[in-house]
Amino acid sequence: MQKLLTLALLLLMMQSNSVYAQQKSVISGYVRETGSRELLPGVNIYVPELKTGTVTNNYGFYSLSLPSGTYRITYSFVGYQPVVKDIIVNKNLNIDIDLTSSILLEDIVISAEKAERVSESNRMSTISMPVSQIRYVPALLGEKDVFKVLQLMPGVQKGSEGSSGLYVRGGGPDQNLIILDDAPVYNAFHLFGFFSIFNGDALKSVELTKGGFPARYGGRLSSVVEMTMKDGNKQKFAGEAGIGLISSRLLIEGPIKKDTSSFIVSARRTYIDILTRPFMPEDANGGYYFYDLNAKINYDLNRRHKLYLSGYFGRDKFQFIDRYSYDNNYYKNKGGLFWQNATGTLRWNHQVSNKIFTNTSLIYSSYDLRIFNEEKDKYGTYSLKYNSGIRDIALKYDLEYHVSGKYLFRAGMSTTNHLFTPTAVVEKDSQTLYDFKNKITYNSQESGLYAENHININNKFQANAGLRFVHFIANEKSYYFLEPRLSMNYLIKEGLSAKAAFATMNQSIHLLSNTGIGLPTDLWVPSTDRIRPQNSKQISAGLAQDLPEKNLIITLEGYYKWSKNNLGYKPGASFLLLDDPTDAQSFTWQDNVTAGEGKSYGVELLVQKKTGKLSGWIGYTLSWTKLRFDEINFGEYFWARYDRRHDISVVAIYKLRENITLSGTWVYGTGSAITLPLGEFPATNWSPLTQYIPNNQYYYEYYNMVTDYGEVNSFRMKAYHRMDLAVQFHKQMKRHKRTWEIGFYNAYSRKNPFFYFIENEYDGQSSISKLKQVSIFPIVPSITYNIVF
Amino acid sequence: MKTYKALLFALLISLMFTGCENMISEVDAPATEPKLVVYSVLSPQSDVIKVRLNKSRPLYTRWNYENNNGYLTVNNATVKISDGVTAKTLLLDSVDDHYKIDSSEFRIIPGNRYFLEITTPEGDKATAECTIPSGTHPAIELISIDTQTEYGETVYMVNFRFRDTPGSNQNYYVAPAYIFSEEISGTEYIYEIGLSKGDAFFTDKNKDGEYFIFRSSGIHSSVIGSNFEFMVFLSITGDELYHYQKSVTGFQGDNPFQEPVPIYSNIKGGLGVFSGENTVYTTIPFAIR
Repeated sequence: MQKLLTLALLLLMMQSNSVYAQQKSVISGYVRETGSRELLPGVNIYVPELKTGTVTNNYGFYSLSLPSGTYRITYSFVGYQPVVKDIIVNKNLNIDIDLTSSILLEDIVISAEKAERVSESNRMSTISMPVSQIRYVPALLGEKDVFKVLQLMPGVQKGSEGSSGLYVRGGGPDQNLIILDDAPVYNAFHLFGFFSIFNGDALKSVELTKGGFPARYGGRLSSVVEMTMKDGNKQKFAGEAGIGLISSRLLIEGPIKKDTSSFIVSARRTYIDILTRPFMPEDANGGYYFYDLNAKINYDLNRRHKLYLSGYFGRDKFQFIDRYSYDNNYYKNKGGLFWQNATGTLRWNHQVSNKIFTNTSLIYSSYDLRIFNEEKDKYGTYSLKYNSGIRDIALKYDLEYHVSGKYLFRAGMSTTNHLFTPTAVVEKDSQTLYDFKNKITYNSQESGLYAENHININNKFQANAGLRFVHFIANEKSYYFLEPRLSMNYLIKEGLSAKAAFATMNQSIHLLSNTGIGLPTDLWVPSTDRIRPQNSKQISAGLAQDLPEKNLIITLEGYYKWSKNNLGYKPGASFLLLDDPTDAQSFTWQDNVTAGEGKSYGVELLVQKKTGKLSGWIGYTLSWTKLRFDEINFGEYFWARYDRRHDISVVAIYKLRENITLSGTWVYGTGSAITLPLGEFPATNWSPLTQYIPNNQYYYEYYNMVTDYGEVNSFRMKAYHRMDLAVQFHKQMKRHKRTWEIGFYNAYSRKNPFFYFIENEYDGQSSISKLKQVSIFPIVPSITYNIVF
Repeated sequence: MKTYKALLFALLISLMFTGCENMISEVDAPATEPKLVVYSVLSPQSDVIKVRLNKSRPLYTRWNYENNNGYLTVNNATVKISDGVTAKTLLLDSVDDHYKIDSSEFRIIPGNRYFLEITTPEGDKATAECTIPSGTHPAIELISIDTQTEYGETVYMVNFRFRDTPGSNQNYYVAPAYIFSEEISGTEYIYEIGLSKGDAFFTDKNKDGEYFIFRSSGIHSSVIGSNFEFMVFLSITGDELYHYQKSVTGFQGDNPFQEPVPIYSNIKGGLGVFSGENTVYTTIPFAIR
């Protein structure tokens, strides 16, 4: 089946090259934001007379081939005033457009007459998140978080309470390709998953793809979250600052050379450690903080060449120092846990012609976890350092060829060198002269080559047919894969279309997690000669409807996804890094894992209103996710922990007055599937020696007291639901605009389950076990102050 | 301004409310009843067929410390074994609380399927079935004997291997042991000593036809004296016993960093295991230096 599909795609590609390569005049250019000169990706360019159009790419570039004539062309983008231009097309033209942000305009109710028509896009299962909307959605402690907003979309589920992890269509958090300016991010979370590392102030665009993946994406099974950082204001210095209950942040941007180059720097730091310091005992101190820093500079060499250098650095640090004296001896014990992400991207945009646009990126990304402990007294010093991590260096090249108004060809390649360090331990004891070092590394190379064909076959039918070739080598073992991709759109009538897509994906890296909740101690490991890459196949089909008169977009999608070679710890295998880091010395991860498969299917409904006085969306997901591992649940299928039958989210943002915005969200999710103890019994240990006891000898048959759990994940936690509310007061001051926000997370203080435990109650004669639920967030009020200058 | 004050007041009230809130609450536990726990492993080499019956203790109901801590031995059950043609009833041996029948009355034959049915006057009913493995036992090959000195005495470790029978799809259990006779009384003792290298219980899945290599745990010269035999017991087991034993030995209680390990069961209407095994042993000549 897959071979047939691949062959069909290749034929389609060859056909399309000959059919659509006709000569016409080309209008091309860049779409920017008025004032800041920020390039805008995803802007819709539409020619009503021809019922054709295009969208700007990630770098704000567009190209449209049109027959000679006079046309009225509309440039529109959510959150911006649309621009309509009458253009005489009789030769190739460069037309750059500036769009004005609607939030800067007084008394304008945003109307996007031809904004982003999902019914006319050949992509499906894709969500473009308007970054400007994220700042209005209520958040825990007022900390705006892109990932928490993505969790409110159908098909995307959160893990446990407060966690920023994404579970997309039944896939695990490791199966999401999270890209910041082309650089993959490995552990995208602060504070054990409560906050994501992405500072919304610095982001220009966020796009989530859940299925129907275009061939340019590869390397993960479940989703692609592509984020682009702002370039920085090219005309004047500007900034934003915010003060919250646990953190503050600052963003500054401005021109280096007006209209040619600019910079942007944004930073955020928590101050839980500073707030708690006065309450720490005198002989001990410690604390926790995280910070992150985004920076980007860009330079327009000329109209055809642009350079961007961007980077991210973020670190979480938890540490303690403990000192005391006893019997003329002093003791000092210090230790800690920290983890950090760093990414860097150097990009070169080259507009080769008015039809061809290329981008070359040199990418660096790393994730490091370190645990250290040092104990000192007058006899000597004992120290232990443990670390694990992953480092990527990659080169990526992408080409877009706007062959005609009906045919866009994309191709590209990428190659990434991964250096995995699952464990590195250094242990020293100055008293016993013990000196132990152990470091395990894996060097691997992952490469991809792709071609995509966006074809408008006629006014009703369009398709994106692509093929990706993947090569992965580690431990001298090579894997090759061919990944066919296809997505199609058929316009049933104006504003209503039917869509279908197929994608196969491979993932050569795996995340080993003991708890499934995404702790920084989870290990990134490569595929090896013993561990095969993960693979998935997904089909999806659905309907998309635009109701422009009501500003509504409705999408209904069904999907079925199979995955195999998923990796998990064997039952009983435990990497108790937090308990005892020295265990890492003898831990061999390849012996402690088991391979499995999964299937996930469901239906997703999204009703979205992106503009207007009242905006927001309602999302509903009905889904099933099952897993099967050779050595878990005795090889039988079981419900995934985050299998969620019903998932509902309602998001509403209401502009009460020009200076007051009200917002609210309500979420509901079926309880997580967990394995719960039901009873206890003595389980006899078997040994063949019981049959061979010499006469008159008693062989001791021994028992383990074990728990009767029933089947794996056969019990459901209580359902999760929560309402968040916020009100924002905006005021234009003399030199800046300020916003006060008062928010209430979990406004009706629902006790949602975080985890369950068993508590035994004794009365001297008898005992009973009680099932207890721990919730972590009751109603949590917050207040934040933001300024934009 | 009034709105701000009202909101700030509401915020303060909420903060106070948050501080008092108890975030641990009791939730409804699933209703559970005591279940029959069956343990029976059939072997063609055994003189007697044994079935042990217990009842599990449900967690969310009250139990008294008396009565064997809530783990009831079941001694009023009717236990029947059948090969599909002939059925026999096992009788309770009150000395060790096992239901038994002599193998001379009911033979266990490799390759045959057996059925177990248990009923109690209280209305419990459990059934199970299993097949006795009939595969060929690979030959054990001695590789070497390592020695080392610990606190002045010699410790021996025996390296041995065998090659899986290709295409056999077998589960193996390997148990090194030694038998020695006490010098004065002449009484024989047998000890299973475990492995210091290699997994004792494993399957040939994905390793068909491969060699499996083992090293015994240390045998201390002070314990064995000079009059002993080294043996390797090699069992081919049913899938049920393989899954059961793996889950029992892998069980580690409540470890928050570990997914719970459920205990395998093939008993319909109960817990535990009913399976078959087929064991041979090899004596390895062992010359003490």
